[in-house]
Amino acid sequence: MTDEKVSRPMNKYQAEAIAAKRADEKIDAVGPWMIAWRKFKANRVAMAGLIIFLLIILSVIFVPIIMGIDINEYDISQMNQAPSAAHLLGTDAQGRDCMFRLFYGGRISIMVGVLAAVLTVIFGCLIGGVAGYYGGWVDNLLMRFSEIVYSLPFTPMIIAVAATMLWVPQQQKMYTVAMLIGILSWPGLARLVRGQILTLREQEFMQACEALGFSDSSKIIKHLMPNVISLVIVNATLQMAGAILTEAGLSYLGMGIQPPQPSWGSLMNLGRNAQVFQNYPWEWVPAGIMCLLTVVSINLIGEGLRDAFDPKEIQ
Amino acid sequence: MSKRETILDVENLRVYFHTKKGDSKAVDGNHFRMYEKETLAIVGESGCGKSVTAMSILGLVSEPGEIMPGSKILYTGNDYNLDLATASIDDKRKVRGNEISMIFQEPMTALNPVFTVGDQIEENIRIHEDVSSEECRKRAIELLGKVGISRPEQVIDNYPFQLSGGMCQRVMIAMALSCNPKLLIADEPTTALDVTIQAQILKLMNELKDETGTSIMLITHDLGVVAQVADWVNVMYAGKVVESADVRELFTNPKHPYTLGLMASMPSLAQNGARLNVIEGTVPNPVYLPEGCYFADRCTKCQARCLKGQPPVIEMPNGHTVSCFLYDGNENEELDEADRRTVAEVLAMLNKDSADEAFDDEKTVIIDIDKDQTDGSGGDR
Amino acid sequence: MFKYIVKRLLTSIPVLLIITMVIFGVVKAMPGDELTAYLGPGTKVTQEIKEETRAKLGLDKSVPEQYVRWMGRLLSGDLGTSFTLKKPVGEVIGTYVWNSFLLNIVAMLLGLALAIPVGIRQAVKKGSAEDNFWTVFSLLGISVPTFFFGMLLIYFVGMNVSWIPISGMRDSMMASFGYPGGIMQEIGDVAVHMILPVIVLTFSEFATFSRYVRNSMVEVINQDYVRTARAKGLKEKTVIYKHAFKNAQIPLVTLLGMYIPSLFSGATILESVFVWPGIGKVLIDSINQRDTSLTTACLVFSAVLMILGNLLSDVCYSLVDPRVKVDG
Repeated sequence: MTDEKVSRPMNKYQAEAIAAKRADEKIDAVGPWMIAWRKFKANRVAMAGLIIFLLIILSVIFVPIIMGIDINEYDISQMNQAPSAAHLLGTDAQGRDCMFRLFYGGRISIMVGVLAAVLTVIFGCLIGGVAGYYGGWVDNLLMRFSEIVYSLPFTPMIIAVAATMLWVPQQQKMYTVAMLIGILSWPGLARLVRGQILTLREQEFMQACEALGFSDSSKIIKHLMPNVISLVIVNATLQMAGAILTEAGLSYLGMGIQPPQPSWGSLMNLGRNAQVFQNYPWEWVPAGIMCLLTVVSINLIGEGLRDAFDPKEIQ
Repeated sequence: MSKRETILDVENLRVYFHTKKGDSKAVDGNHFRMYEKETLAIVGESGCGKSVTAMSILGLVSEPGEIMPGSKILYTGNDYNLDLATASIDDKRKVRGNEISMIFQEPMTALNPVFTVGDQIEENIRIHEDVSSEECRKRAIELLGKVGISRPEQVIDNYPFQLSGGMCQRVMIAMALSCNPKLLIADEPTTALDVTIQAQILKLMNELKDETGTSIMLITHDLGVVAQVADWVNVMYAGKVVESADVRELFTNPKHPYTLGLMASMPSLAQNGARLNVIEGTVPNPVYLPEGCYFADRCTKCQARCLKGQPPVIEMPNGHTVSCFLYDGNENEELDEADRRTVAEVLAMLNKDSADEAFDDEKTVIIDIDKDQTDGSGGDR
Repeated sequence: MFKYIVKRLLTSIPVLLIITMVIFGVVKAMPGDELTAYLGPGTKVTQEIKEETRAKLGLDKSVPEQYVRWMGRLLSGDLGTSFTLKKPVGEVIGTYVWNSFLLNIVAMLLGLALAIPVGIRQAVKKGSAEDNFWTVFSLLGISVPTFFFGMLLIYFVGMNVSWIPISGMRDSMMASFGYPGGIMQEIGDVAVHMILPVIVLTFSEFATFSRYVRNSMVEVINQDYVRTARAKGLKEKTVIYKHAFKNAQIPLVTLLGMYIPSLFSGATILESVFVWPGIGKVLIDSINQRDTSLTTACLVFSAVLMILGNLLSDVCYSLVDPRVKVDG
C-alpha cells in the first residue's frame, strides 16, 4: 500500500475501509528481528534449550561464589567421599569438593566454547568476506588456504597440535585450546560467508552503493554484513557447541585443560583411572552430564535460531 | 445451445488455513458449475483463492489447510460420481491424473528433475491403466507428438532440465492428457512462459479441447488469455466469486467494479489515449477480512452500505451474476467533492490518540512506505 | 568423468604437499626427545651409541632436511618403522585400518538404516510432537561426547552384563592361542566385542544422518513436483519415497561420499575408550609414546582420506543428479 493514498482525498467510504484495513494489518507489521524472535518464542523445543542454557550459565557463575571455597582448598582426610550432606557430589582423590569443581570447571569449559566460537566467527567472516568481496587472486589465494586447513583431519590434528602445547602453563591453557579450535574451525564458515557475499554482490542494491561511491570497507560492513548476520549467528552457536565437545575430548585425553585445573573434560579424565571409574563415579559422571546438557541446549538454540531466521519457515 | 451436461458442481466451497493468528479464509463460499466440453476461466489477482479452489478439487490442499464441512464438490464423471470434498483419499486418487488432471504454473519445477520425461508420463498411465511397458512407452511418444514436440522418440529420454519452459509445459500437458481426462485444470499454464510460447500453448489447449472433448478449468490473472480460450468466466476476489458471466457478456457488459478495474488495467482493452488504470491497494489479508464488502477499500464507488455487510448476489439476464451493492436496487450516493476525505483524516477521527502512534510504527513496517509521509501530519498537499 | 577425477587429483597434490609439511612440523614440535623414545625410556647406553643412533635416524639434521628425507622415503613407499610396535609403519596401518573400518562401516550402515525412515517421517510430520521428539533425540546424539557415552555404557552395561566385553576386539586368550571353534567362533567373538562401541557410534551416526535426511526432505517435500506426483493419483508412499526422497537423496549421497574414506580413519577418541585396535587408538598411543613416524603416517593418512572424501562427494553428486555434468 503506498502512502500517497493516506493523504489523497477520495471517496469517504473507501477511505474508511482503508483505515479499517490498516488497523488490522498493523498487527502484523513488525521488523525482521521481531519476526525471528516471535518464531523462536513459539518454538517450544528451542525455548527449553534457551532456559536450560541460561540456568547452566547462572549456576556456573553463582554456585562457586555461593559455596565460597578456594580453588586450591583440599582436605586429604576427606578423600574420595561419596556424596553426602556436606559434599553434595562427594569429594575427589585430594578431598576436594566435587560440586565446586564441577561448576568451576563449567566456567572454563563454557569460556573455551565462547572464545573458540568468537575466534571462528572472526576468522571465518574476515577471510570469507574479503575473498568473496574482492574476488580475483585474493579470492583464489584465500580459498586455497582455506582448502588446506579444511583438508586437515580435525580431531587427529587437534590432538596432535595440542600435544605440542603441553608446555603452556595451566592458567593460559584454556586460551590455547580455544585458539587451536578457532584456527582449525573457520574454513566452513568462511565458505558460507563467501558464498553469501558472492550472491549478494550481484544484487542491485550493491550496484547502487557503487554508484553512490561508498568505499569498499564501509560497503562490506554496512551493507553486506547484515545480510550475512543471521547465518553467522546460527553458525557461531553451533561452533560453540562443537568447541565445548572438542575441549572435553582433548582434556579427557589429558591434552587440553589438565588437572588440577578443572574443566568438564579434565574431570571426565579422572574416569580413565580404573579405580575412580569403578568406585567413585561421582567424580566423573556429573561432568559428562553437565557437558551433555550444555551442548544439547546450545544445539537446540542453534536449531531454533536457524528456523527463526529462515524466511521459508512460516510461523 | 445443446443440452449442457454438468460435470462439476461446486457449492459453498470454503477452504480455511488454520494459522496461529486465526483462520485464513482462502476460499470462502465459492459456488460454480462446470459443463462438459466447456472452458471455465477463473480470473483474479494472486492471493484471491483461485489456485486453492483448483487444489481443493483435486484434494491437494495440505496442512494447515482444510476444506470446511458443508462444502460440496460434486463431480460427475465417466466411471466415478463423487463428492470430492468428502471422498476418501483412495477414491480421490483414482480420479486424480485419470479423470481430472492438472497443469501447473511453473513447468520447470512441476516436473521432477531426477526422472526422465518418459518416466513421468508413463508413470501416470501405468497407475491408472493396466498396460504393458512397451504399450506405455508407445503411448507416451504418441502423446508427446500430439502436443507438438518434434522428435518425441528422443525427448522421451530427456530430463526436464534439458528442455525449455515451453517444452516442459507441453510435456505437462501430455502427461495431463495421458489418461483422457474429463476435466483438465490449468493453473496459470502460460504465466511463466514467453509471450509467443504463451500463444502456442493456448492454441494447443484449444485444439486439444476440441479434439478430446475435455472440459478445461483455466486459472489466470490475464484477461487476454481469458478472451482467447474461455466460454464462461468467474471473477474471484478475496476467496469469493464476485462476477460470473458468459465470456462475451462479461467483456461487453462488465458490472462489478473489480471487473471494470481489471479491464481498465489491460492495455488492449483500455480506451485509446486514456491513461492505463491500476487498481490501487492489495487483496485483503485473508486472516483479517472486513465486515463489509472485501473490495470496499479499493472501490472508488464505495457506498455507506458497502461497509456494513456482505453484498448480495444479483442475477442478471443470460445467467450473468454479480455480487455488488451497486446493483441491489437501492439508490446509490453520488459522491461529490465535499464528500472526499483522506485516510489520514479518517484515522484521526476514529482514534485521535493512537493515530500518531499508528504512523510512527509504520516506519518499521516491511511494506514500503515513504518516510516523509509517515511523520503523522497526514495533511493534504 | 575420468578426466575430471585425474584433474582433481592433480590439483590436490600441492595441497597435500603443504599439509604434509604442516603435519611434519607439528610432529617435530612435540616435546620430548625422540631418541629416548626410540631407545626406550630408562635404557642406559653410551654416548657413542646415542650419537650413532641419532645419525642413523637422521635426527642430527635440521627439520627441513629431515622432511626432505622423509618425503623421499615416502615416495619410494617407505613410511618408516614404528619404535613402539617394532614393525614397519605401512604394515601397522594396513592392519589397524581394517579394524577401524569394521567398526565404522557397521555403525554407519545401522545408523543409515535407522535414520532414513525416521528422517522421512519427521519431514512428513514436520512440527508434530513426534518430529520434536526425534529432533531432541538426534540432537542428544550429536551433543553427547562419544567417550562419555562409551564410559556410561561400560559402567552400566559392561559391568553388569558379564557376556558383553567392555574392551578390546577379541578375547585375549583365544586371540593368542587360536579359536578352537574356527572362523565362526572368531566372528562371534569380534561381534560381541563390537556391541558397545557400535552402540555409541551408531547413535551419533544416526543423529547426523537423521538430521540430514529430515532437512533435505523438508526442502523437497513442498516442491511443485511433489504436488504434481500427488495430482497424478500416486499413493502417498510412492509420492514420498519415490518422488520426494529421490531428490532428497542428492545431498545425502554427497555426504556419504564424504564419509566413506573417513570410515578408515577411525573414531579417534572412542577407540581409546574401548581399547579398540584401530587407527584412532594407534594415533593417540603413538602421540603419547612419541612414536613420530607412526604419528606422522597416521596424520598424513587421515589427510589423504579427507581429500579423497571431498573428491568422492563431488563425484557422487554428479552421479545422482542428472543435472550435474562434470567435464575435465
